[in-house]
Amino acid sequence: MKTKKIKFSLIMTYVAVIGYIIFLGFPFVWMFTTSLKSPMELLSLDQSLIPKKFYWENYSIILNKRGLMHSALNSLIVALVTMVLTTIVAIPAGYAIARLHKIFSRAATGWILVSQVFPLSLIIIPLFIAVRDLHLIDSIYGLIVVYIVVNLPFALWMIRGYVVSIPTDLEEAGATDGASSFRILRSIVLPLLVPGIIATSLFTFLTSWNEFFFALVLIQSTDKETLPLNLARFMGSEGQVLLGPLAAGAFLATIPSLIVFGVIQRKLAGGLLAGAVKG
Amino acid sequence: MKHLLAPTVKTRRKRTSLLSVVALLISVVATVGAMPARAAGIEMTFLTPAYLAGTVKATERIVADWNKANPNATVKVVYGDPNNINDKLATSFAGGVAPDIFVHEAASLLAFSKQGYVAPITAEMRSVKSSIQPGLWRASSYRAQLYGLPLMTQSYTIFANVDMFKKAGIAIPTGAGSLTWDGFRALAKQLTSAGNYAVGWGLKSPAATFMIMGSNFNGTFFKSLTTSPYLTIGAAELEVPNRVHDMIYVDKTIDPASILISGGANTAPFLAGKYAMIVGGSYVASDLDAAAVAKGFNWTALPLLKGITSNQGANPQTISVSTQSKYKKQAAAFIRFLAQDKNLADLALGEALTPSTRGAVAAVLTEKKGSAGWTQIMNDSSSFVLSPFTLVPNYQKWKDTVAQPTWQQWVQGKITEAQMKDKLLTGWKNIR
Amino acid sequence: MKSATRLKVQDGTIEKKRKKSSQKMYNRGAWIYALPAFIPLVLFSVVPLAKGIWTAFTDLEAGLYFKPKFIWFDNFRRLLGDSLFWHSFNIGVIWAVSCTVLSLVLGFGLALLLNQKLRFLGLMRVLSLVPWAMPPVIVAIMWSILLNPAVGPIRGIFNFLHLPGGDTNWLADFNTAFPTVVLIGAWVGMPIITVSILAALQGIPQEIIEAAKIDGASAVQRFRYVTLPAVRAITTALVALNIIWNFNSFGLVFVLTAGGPGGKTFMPALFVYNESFKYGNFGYAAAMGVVMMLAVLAMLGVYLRARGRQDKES
Repeated sequence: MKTKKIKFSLIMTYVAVIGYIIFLGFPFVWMFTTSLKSPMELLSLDQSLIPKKFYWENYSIILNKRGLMHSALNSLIVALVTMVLTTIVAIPAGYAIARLHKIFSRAATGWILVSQVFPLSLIIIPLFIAVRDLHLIDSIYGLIVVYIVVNLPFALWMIRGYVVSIPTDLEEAGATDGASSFRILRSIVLPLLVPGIIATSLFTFLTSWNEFFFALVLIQSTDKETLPLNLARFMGSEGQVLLGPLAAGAFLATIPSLIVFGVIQRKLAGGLLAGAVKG
Repeated sequence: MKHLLAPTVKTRRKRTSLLSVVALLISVVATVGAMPARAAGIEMTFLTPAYLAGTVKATERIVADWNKANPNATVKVVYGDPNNINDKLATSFAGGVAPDIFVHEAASLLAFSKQGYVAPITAEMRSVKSSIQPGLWRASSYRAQLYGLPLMTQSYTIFANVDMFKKAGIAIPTGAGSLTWDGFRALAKQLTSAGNYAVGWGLKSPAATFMIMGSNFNGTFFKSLTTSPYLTIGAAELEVPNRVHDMIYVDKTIDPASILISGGANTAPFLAGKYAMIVGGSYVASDLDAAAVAKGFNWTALPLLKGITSNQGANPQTISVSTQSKYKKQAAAFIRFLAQDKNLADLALGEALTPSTRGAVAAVLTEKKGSAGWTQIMNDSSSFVLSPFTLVPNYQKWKDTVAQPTWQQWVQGKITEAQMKDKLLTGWKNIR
Repeated sequence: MKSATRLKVQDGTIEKKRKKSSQKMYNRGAWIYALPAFIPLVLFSVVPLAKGIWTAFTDLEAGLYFKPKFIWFDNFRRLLGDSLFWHSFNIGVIWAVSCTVLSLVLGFGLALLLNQKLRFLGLMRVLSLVPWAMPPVIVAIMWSILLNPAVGPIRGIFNFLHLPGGDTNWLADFNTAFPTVVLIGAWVGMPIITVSILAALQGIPQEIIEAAKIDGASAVQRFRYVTLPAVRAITTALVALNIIWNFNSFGLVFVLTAGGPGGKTFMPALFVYNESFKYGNFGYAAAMGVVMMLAVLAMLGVYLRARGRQDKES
């Protein structure tokens, strides 16, 4: 009786697993195979998943396209620097918001929400002028500064959430032993925060890697453009024949994020272990 | 506080890297701020939404030629995303860092001209004026001043599958004005058989189509342009929406599946032989050309549809100088250089649009001698007239929030003619 | 079961103790911790935002020589009568809520699966990130290809399985356009939720789960008393942020439907965006922004208050 029940729930679990794999994976796989179809196949009706003939030229077209690799490098620099700086700044501040005086904490969380709520299109011009006054228009550094500001509210809010879910007794013990708040943060809270920090930095990386609108208005020169700008320009407004190279570019643009995730995922499991041992 | 004085190696490294990034930021700010102006000559920025390989190549070639001939006033090309060029310009204008020269489209340029961000270039372009269609010239002007030189224009063209016509034994109409709306309906009926629609027509965004083709029946949509423009929907304005509606729901010659997608997306079923005709922007010709080369697809363009006239409203691509530019004179000279017949023809060939000057049209015709479709599209170039809507400041807003949704409902058969008319007019009144 | 309850009680006592004794300790150095984050926020977020809000009370328009006047509440008065805006506003609220709920349900489920020992776990972990790893520009293009009524594979799948509705143009049909964009929105929003909740799940010390098992707690009980409390805070945060983001987003939907058919997917953020960027009415657009901000804050206030009350009760 009991084993039957377990078996049934196991079957349901795998049905869910397969459902998720299709829902998440199919569009991606379709895009990948689209990147291997010739322009003529892309213009025909009733396309199959597997290309009739593998057409690798799409990749050479997109890779030889002036500026694609360069813009990918720009994107990588921007995303990595933004990720590191945002996380470094957000951990102590997020901790402060979670554990400090109620009034301070309320004001800060309130502000974080307000800053997210205001439609982007309204602050873009004042922001543009602020960046211009610092002579950071058309500069990768200007973009990094803006991305840090864009990511910070989310990062703070997430770190705050993870800190809140950590039981306070350890910190209590530390405080009783006379450790300073910095030491408590570094040696007690930080190890427990690792999975949360990883999730947050992953988010920061991806937001910066994918961001389009700020890059569009802040970057002027072609040699400073980021990958989404480069791809969007290639996409243009019309034209089916470009679909193959575009899919190839999209596929390539997705790879770095997946690699970052693959690396971090291992860390994520490691963080779990560390937490289990210490917690 | 002891731990602060004796940080571990790890944290120290972290802190140094943070410090070095901050230092880097400061130094970048300093260098950018202190950068000296270039000693000899000036450099102008040129923002263009060109993205098709042919147009990009032509742009590079033209700019290189110019820079070689004018080392003291060089041009630097900045490529913008064609879908977002308006946002880019709006931000740059408001932030005071606009490009010296930029390409845009007439109907959207108007707002910027009105706001004072675009420099009038009437006098500078006087030498070019005689070779440009008057309709195009007027569409790019505001209060009798030219704000952008029209470069090239898209016409709404019917593309035909020659082999399907041959098979059905139907002659392909040729010659300007030879295809009337009634004639088109009859053709579509002849080519429609059980379960097979003759026509694919992408009407996902029907407003531009209806207003531009409205000129066929002298539909103006807007009156009293110079004082305070107002919307009028009479019999003339309703002709095109009604005829399209009839072809979908009475004749059943337009595939209802095709109307829900954008113009370019019907190219695939057309190439697969699903439709004998598709209606779309002339740019579709570049996709068809590629198919013709690759698998011998046999296509042509039909003459522009004729109602009372075969005129079509023009919303040309334009090139302008911004008011904030310090080098207006040199910028205008570059525009005149770019508008030379050969240069303009090269640009237009890349996008499969009709160039603005007669000389450039002739150059494209020579280049594409063998193609009946191209010849037809170029021969239609005299049909471009001023569409009043390009001169109405609130047109964009009305189009986005009222006309587009209303006409989408109309082509999907959700509302009656009276409701359509009422929605369009009430919507206009609600817009300030 | 018992140990889970014990943990709760413990939590409660600590909570009280902390408030009394160690507030001082926690407060020391607060400003120093928060400063590096708050300086850039003030410069590039507070100041521009304040400017934006001020604009809502002026008649500012785009223009090289335009001198704005302070006009108090005129923009808001005019906005009250703007039926087109309120129509779009309603769409935005429904969109934000339905998209958030759907992505939360789907993302939560996926996180629970990923936290178990199952086959295909590595594959699922990578796949769970795919929607997020793709630039949104690409996501929109990809889905419009998939859903293309003439050449898209979705149509092929429907026909292959003999399901009705294969010829539906999902993004343009009046009945299906909105649900379709909600589903795509959930597809895009899922990974953030999955990864964040998974991180919280992995933060649960293994021995608590083991202890609960030994005490004889059923799977449902473990979920109710161990899992849910552990992810409560992060879920609240995610829901709040997702509602905001979805309410303010329009890029994805715009590329998919351009606001159509017949205005069914015309998001309020697109409305504001057009008003300022396309028509140059900065003052009026800012007033719309302020109204949207207040609306979202009210929505969040209700939600967060309800969550807070629940927290107290449990």
